[in-house]
Amino acid sequence: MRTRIGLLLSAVLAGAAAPATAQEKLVVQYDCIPNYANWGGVTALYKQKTGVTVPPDPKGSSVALAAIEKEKDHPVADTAYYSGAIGFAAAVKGLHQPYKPKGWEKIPSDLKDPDGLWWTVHTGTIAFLVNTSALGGAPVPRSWADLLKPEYKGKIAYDDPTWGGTSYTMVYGVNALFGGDEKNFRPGLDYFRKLDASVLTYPRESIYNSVLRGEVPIWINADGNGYKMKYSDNGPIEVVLPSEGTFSMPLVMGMVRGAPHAEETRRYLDWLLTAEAQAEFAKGFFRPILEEAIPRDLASKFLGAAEYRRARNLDLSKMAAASDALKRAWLEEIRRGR
Amino acid sequence: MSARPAPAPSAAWTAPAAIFLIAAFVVPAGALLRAASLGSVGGFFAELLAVWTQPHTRRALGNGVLLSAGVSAAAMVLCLAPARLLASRRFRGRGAARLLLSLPLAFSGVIVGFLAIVMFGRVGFVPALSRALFGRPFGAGVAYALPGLILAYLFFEIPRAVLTLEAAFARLDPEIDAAARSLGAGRLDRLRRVTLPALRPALAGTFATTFAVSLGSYGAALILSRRFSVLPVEIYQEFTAFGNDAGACAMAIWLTVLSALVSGWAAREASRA
Amino acid sequence: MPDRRASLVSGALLALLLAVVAAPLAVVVAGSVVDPRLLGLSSETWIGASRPAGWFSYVLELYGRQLGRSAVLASITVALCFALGFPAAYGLAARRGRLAASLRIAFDAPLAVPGLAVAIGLLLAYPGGRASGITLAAGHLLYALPFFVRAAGNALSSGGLPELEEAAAAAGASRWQRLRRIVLPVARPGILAGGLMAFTISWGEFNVSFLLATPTTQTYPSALYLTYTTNSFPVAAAATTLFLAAALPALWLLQHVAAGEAAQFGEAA
Repeated sequence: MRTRIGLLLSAVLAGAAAPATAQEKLVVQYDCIPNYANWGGVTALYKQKTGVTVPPDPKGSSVALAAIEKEKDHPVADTAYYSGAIGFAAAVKGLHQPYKPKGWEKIPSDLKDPDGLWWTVHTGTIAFLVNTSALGGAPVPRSWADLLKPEYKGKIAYDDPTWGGTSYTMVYGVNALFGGDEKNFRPGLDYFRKLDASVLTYPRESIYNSVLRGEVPIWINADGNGYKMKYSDNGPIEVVLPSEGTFSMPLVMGMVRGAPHAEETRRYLDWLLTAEAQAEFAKGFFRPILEEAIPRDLASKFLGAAEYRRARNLDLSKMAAASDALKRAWLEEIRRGR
Repeated sequence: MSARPAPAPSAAWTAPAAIFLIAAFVVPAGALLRAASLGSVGGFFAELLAVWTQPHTRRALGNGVLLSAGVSAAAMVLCLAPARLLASRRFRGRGAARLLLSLPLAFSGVIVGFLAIVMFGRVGFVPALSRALFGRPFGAGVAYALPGLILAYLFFEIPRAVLTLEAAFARLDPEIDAAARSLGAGRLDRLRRVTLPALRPALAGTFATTFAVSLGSYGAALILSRRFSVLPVEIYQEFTAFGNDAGACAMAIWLTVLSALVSGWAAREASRA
Repeated sequence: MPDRRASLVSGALLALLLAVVAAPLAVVVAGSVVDPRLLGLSSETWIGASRPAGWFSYVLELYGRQLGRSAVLASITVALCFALGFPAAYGLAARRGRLAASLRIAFDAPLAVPGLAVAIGLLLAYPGGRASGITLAAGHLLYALPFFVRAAGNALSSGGLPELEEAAAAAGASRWQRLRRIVLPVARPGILAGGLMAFTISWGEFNVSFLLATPTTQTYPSALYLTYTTNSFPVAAAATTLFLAAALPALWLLQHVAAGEAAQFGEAA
């Protein structure tokens, strides 16, 4: 009996082990969240075309930066995807090596580093993603001021900005919107303190499905994720650009210094700027950096251009310089505050 | 070949495991201590002290100790009678019951956090069920508050408590209890004078185990808690989001010290038996 | 009839505990095979409106690599437990005294240290070991080894081993022959129980693995974290069901091989 159990066990193990030991071509991208900007679809397409695997990775921008910095002497990642300011900060810290992928010249000059330390692959805008069936009768919030109303208590979430770059962009932007700047965080922190009373959770990872399911009714995040919930997943979702103003956000990539799979990575980064890959990003409703890759029907699904006129551009270098201090301040006052 | 007595195996047989332990445990412990001394706060002891002086780390430490102690005590009280039943009776389904109870032993805190949201999230199963039955979504959103965290911790401590206590009951000598009974000792008296003292080392061991496991677990708190924080979450935050090795290591050292103290106390109780 | 009332209360409490453990598992397993809306859990239509059986194939498509990796890592852990732990248990079995006592404490020591602290220590001590997964395997072994050594040790000290060995030596058996014909058979139940515990610990390990793993060495419990945060409920439920399906046979075997050993297993974090 015992020998048989042993045999059975070894057979099961051997069967499970076989596929895992096969060699495969790899590119390691930090911050490769399947539900964000359709990275799941983009990496699946790349695998199908080239056989190269780009495994999913749940790190947000800030965590990706911290990890690459820690691994400086023994790099694990080949490339990383960040919201603009954090990618800018990574380049300033010397964590990237210069590379100008094919199609470089098509990227507007204010959306790339002249030396090729980072470049934009697509852009997004900060928005409220509202699950209208989960609001419990409350109206859809239209402004930053609306969010402070008591009827939204326990219904709002935004990502921990010490983790994710999207949320860092939002926190920096709101501070600027209410009169703060890269040195003075008071106006923003005061607002988030008040908002704290209504916040259900400060997630450290994507809550895409929680929002879709109605678990979280209001998520302050990138507009594209909301459009995807609405149009691809047929969710009861409304995307709101707050009336006081909002912020546009370039999403950038850079090649890690000492990338272990350098050649494979360059090919991958080249491909991400092709019309094919860019159209795949557009399926996640992030605006491709290549104008010609924007599908015609996509524009009709976005809110009108008039709405988007309220989106401000933020200065990436100032944002990057303020990042450590603002993240610390948010952590101390909001998450750890009393 | 002449017959000779077999020499007992020499202690050298333990060498491979001992070498591994030095490489994978002692050396990393040294690295941890060293990293704690390289911080910006000003040296090893200043960094260790800071864990107690900064309000948020002190609070997280206190939260973790209270939560772990409370949950461990509650799990023990809840599990005492069922453990005795499992140890003393042979009934149909006993094996299945033990198997089911052992299942959460393989779970990480993350799974438990997910289960908490599935059951007690804002649109979880329990509120959905209660809305269907009573028209009111009882328990909605509980997962994100302290009661949810307590439930989650109980979920993975109950199996640990039941199984260790069951083993302890199984080891108890029934003769002593029978002797006490024949001497006319009442039920409560026997429990107080005979059973509990005999179980004491096992109770201490169970408490130490559940306490240490709770104290070190962070998956559930990572997923569930909005602001209520425990030390492992703070360690994870400082280490991964800020690359603050020294601060993270100082907290990890305190976590280890606390956990080791409780384990040491339990080991002493056990050796007294 | 106080005894009867007491066992009724115990029985009710036991039923309560079982319900607490079983209810969420039942909901999750059910959620992986039926439409979650039937459970009152609204869900989105992402990735195919409803393909109950397909959810499992989708999970394998997404996380098959991590599943395989966890199986390999768990087998490696078991093999290393045997290679290091069996000699250690043999060397300690008949030994009393201070050295043996402190060695026993040393082998148990990792259990008193939180996984996160071990992970950070390993990361700092061997920064280059992450990419290859060596530190990850070391972390798993660190927590599995104590259980293996104990289980094997219990078996070795229960069978009158010294007398048997002495008799065999007197009959002219060499050390190697004694090891193969006497010691290993005596230790077998312990080795089996210890191996199963090592497998289960490695299979579910998250506290150490989460920090030590890279996207290319990530194990299945970390993939579960990924699925909880990025996939829809049915997919996450199917992934969890797969996890349970693999853990269950190991735990079942453990109950049959050595019910007593399963108890101390609770110390695994």
